[in-house]
Amino acid sequence: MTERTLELGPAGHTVKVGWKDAPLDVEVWDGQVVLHQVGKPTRRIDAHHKVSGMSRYTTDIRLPGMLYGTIVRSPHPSAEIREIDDAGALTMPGVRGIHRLASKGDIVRFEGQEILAIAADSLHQAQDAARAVKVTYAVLPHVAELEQAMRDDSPVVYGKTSGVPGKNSLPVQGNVRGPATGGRRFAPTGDVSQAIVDAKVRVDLTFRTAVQTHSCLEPHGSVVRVTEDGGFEIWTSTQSIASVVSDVAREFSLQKSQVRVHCDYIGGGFGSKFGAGIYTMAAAHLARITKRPVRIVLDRRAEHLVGGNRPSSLQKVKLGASEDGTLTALEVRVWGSAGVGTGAGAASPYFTIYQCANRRSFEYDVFTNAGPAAAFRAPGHPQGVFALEGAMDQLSQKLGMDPIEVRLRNDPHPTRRLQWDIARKHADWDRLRKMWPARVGDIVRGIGAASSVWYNVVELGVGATVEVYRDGGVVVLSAVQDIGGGIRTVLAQVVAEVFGLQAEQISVKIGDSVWPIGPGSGGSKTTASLTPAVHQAAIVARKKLAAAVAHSLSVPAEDLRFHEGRVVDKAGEILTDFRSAAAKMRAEKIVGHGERTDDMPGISAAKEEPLRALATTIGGVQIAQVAVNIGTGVVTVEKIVAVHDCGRVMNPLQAASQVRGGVIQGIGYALFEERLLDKTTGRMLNPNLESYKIPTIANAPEIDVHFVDVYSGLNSTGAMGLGEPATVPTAAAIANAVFHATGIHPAELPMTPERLLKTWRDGGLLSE
Amino acid sequence: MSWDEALAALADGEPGAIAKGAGIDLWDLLKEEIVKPDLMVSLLNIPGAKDIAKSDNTLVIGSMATLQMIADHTDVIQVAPSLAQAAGSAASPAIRNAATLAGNLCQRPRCGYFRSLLHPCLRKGGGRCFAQDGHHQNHAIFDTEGCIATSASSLGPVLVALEAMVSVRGPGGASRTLPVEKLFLMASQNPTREVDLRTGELLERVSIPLAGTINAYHKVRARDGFDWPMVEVAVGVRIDSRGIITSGRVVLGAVAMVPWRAFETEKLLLNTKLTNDVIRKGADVAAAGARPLRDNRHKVDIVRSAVRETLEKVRRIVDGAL
Ligand SMILES: Cc1cc2nc3c(=O)[nH]c(=O)nc-3n(C[C@H](O)[C@H](O)[C@H](O)COP(=O)(O)OP(=O)(O)OC[C@H]3O[C@@H](n4cnc5c(N)ncnc54)[C@H](O)[C@@H]3O)c2cc1C
Ligand code: SF4
Repeated sequence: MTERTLELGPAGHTVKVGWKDAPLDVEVWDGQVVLHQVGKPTRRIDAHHKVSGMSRYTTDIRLPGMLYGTIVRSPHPSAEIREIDDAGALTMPGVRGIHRLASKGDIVRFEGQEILAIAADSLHQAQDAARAVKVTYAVLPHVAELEQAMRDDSPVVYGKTSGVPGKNSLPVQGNVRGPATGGRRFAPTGDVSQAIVDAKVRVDLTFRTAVQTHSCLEPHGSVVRVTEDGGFEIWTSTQSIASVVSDVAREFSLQKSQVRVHCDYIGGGFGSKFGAGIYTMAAAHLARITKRPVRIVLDRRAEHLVGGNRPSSLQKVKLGASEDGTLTALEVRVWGSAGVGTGAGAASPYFTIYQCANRRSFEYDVFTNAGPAAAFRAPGHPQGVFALEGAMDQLSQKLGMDPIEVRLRNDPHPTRRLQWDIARKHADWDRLRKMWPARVGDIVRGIGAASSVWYNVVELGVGATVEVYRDGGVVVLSAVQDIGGGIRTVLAQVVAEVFGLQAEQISVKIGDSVWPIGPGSGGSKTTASLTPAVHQAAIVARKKLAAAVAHSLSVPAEDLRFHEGRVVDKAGEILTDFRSAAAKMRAEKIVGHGERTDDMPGISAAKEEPLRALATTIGGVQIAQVAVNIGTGVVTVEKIVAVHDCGRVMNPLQAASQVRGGVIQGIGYALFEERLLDKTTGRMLNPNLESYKIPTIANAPEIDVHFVDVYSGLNSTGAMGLGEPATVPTAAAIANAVFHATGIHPAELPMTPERLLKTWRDGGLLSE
Repeated sequence: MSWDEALAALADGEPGAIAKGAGIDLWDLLKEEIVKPDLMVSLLNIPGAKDIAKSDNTLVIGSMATLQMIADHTDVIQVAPSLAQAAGSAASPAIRNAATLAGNLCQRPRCGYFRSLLHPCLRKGGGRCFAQDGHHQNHAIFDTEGCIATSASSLGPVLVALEAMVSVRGPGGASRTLPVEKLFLMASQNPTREVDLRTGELLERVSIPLAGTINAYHKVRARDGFDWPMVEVAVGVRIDSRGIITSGRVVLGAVAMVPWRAFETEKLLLNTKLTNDVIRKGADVAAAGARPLRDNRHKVDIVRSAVRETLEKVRRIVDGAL
């Protein structure tokens, strides 16, 4: 143990923090350390594999003797199963096995719910057999829309006999479950009703958001093989290899060691690819029944129906403020539908972005006959921030204040304040906010801003191994999966840093559960959870290497340094190059293990403000410039300035890609994406990517990305998350820009031409 | 394979045989099980069927020419720039490289209920229209009593504005020629078919008169790129030496099951110059007679805006020509 001083805080604004009981063997990358590989813009080490088609995704896996599976799904959103007759299907050409996923008497509660799975020699044979399965349903009343489901006379999704999902402590009335009032974390404070009455300026507004489906370009799917020891080997598209291992082990009462899971590449997950999923379980059952490997990959329709979604929301927001813009009251009521599932709350950002003395929230899950929601890139936050930030802009207008000024008045977060400065400069905010709205023909330009928040989420107990071979090869091994954030490359950078090598000299093996357990890629926690473990593993390996070669270099091991591909002594004298040094090892390879333990103990200063805020939340601000065509209702996003933080920026190139991806997804949420359920039949009308519109590259504006490096002292590499906050404020900023351009806040997502033109017609904008 | 061999193959396969261009629309319909042919006859390799050539007084486009060929062809760009533009902005580059002229004109509507086997609607021979009180944001605003789907073809309105003719070849080699305008069927005329072809008839080619019009095309879509139009407008006018309009057609797309002529606008333009005032008035009356549905009034607004944009394009060309 030793006493050390760290430099912590946002870059350029760091402070010295004492660390009393620092363990000797932990190297901490704080604000003063000089790094060569980490922080350097580094091209993805698998970029070539991806663009050349060499990367193998789950859908590319073909095993010898593999069968193709398909799932028979309910066409009805609400029905009782009277009869399942699959005898005919079983005798059809090529059919090898059927596994039931539902039984006679079961109630189906959404279109697409699984009935049974069929495996056959070819996909077409499986599909033909699926068509031959006869399921008799007694169709029951259904409800498709949030606000219809809230009414007293609505059909009820969960009748008396059947268990309502979710923790049972909340009251359930018809389809409405709740309210949840924040629990311990977001407990109500002050006297909101009185504060609203007392407020000098107040707004009372309603917002709505549609259901967004994940629309991963690679569908959910698995290929499953029965192994010699009675377990399974599984190739699957997952954002958590570990969760697939444990789900399958539990389902089949196996040891986790009997379940081996591979995932080399994922074509998108966004929160929808946790756990084994029914398709993996069905493939595993069929593999056992048929004694052949089985592949089940969902089609696009199933992706939309059962692949997960972001719940809808209806939000009623009340804000009160004093004359100088200080928030004095904040109240939100959120109703959302996660279909047959729960988790439609959206109140968190109302508690974590701004300070306010009087605050309360009421969150309700409303059941509808639709596929269950899944975690989706910052659950609850894009919808919550859309409404909160829309309300903030309307409050600013009433106050006669600049919207960013009002935000600064209420947001003490040191990073966020720096980000607002950077953003307003790069977006030319001060000038454009005054110069616009400006109209040329039918085109009106506007500019709008929004903030975002996310949390420091970390998965402990994950590990990594670093191996150094006598031929000089350095390998890092982890059962993590690269969801697209680029963890492969970041791991190479971290290890290269420790050995004084270049990232491309490190070989990275990930995506296989036989290696040390990795974190799930959700909650924006992959890099923050795993890089400290890899860092530690590399240091252990380096120490072992030094010890192994010190004797032949005639230098004490503790005096050896690894720098720029060389091995040098204390004085910087070059002794040899890395490869020659490794060649002096006796063993074929040495191995270092590292594990992610608790965040660094003893940095007590980080538990106090202002560092505490840095340690608990991450986020960013975005400013949107839009061109609104008031003749057609078409909104074009011309530019987004996005300023974010993610602790230490490990790889600026990949970090910027994360932000761009988040922004583009946010544009889809703002303008295009909407699951359409037919009211009368409860069926989805756009279960494809032609009429369910995700943004194309043609819709990507100029995206100007900036980062504020933050040295949190939270872990040895200083990495924090990024993927989720990147998409949180985009739709809100675009809506606020449309508000600036037209004087009418859109209030409903997506901002389609029909919605906007209707709002403008109702608001008198089109009455020329 | 020749046209006659293709026709014979189709006749042999009756019922249940269907002609195929690139199959872009057909595959979609097959996947959804909306069509279940026993036999598909590909027309793609018929010699000459992709040719685009200028004759004395017409520009002839073979029905298997792809949208991209049409968009890139110098004669098309010169005679009918609006057609080149419509072809060059439909769908996506990959689709344009494959999709054919005939397939484009004969493609089935995109109504989500029509494309869902689970909705036995009027157009599939069923008893009701689900869109009438369902989702119909992008449905018709004219002829909205029964089926309210719209024609999906962007080339249709342009060809009508260009006064193009279509040559149809029937069983036994019998040919007939009709104006493209007559090819399309209003929903109220026939709710189950979009084009007026008899069993076994094929589109062979389209001819556009060279005695040219000044023509322009404009499309409005919610998502710029790879999206269907909400409204599109094609205009073809003839002018005299003083810039006075002597004849003209203003045709709206995506507003009805047929390319919809805005007769009121056409009347208003006749014998006038395209002044600001004329353009504004022409745009204002373009949607005359529209009967929008509960949730698609915005299309009436968009028609106005789109017609104005298109007429302004025409004016710029006229100004350049004088
Ligand atoms: C996402 C998306 C966006 C699109 N956007 C647009 C758009 O903006 N504007 C637009 O116009 N189109 C658009 N399209 C449609 C596309 O242009 C058509 O699908 C395509 O033109 C069909 O051509 P094809 O050759 O593939 O036709 P096929 O699918 O081969 O055939 C379509 C139909 O035509 C019939 N047919 C084919 N050839 C003949 C013939 N010679 N005689 C008689 N009948 C025949 C077939 O029997 C079939 O019924 C879009 C398509 C997609 C998927
Ligand atoms: S609009 Fe036409 S195609 Fe669509 S549901 Fe109605 S009848 Fe069917």
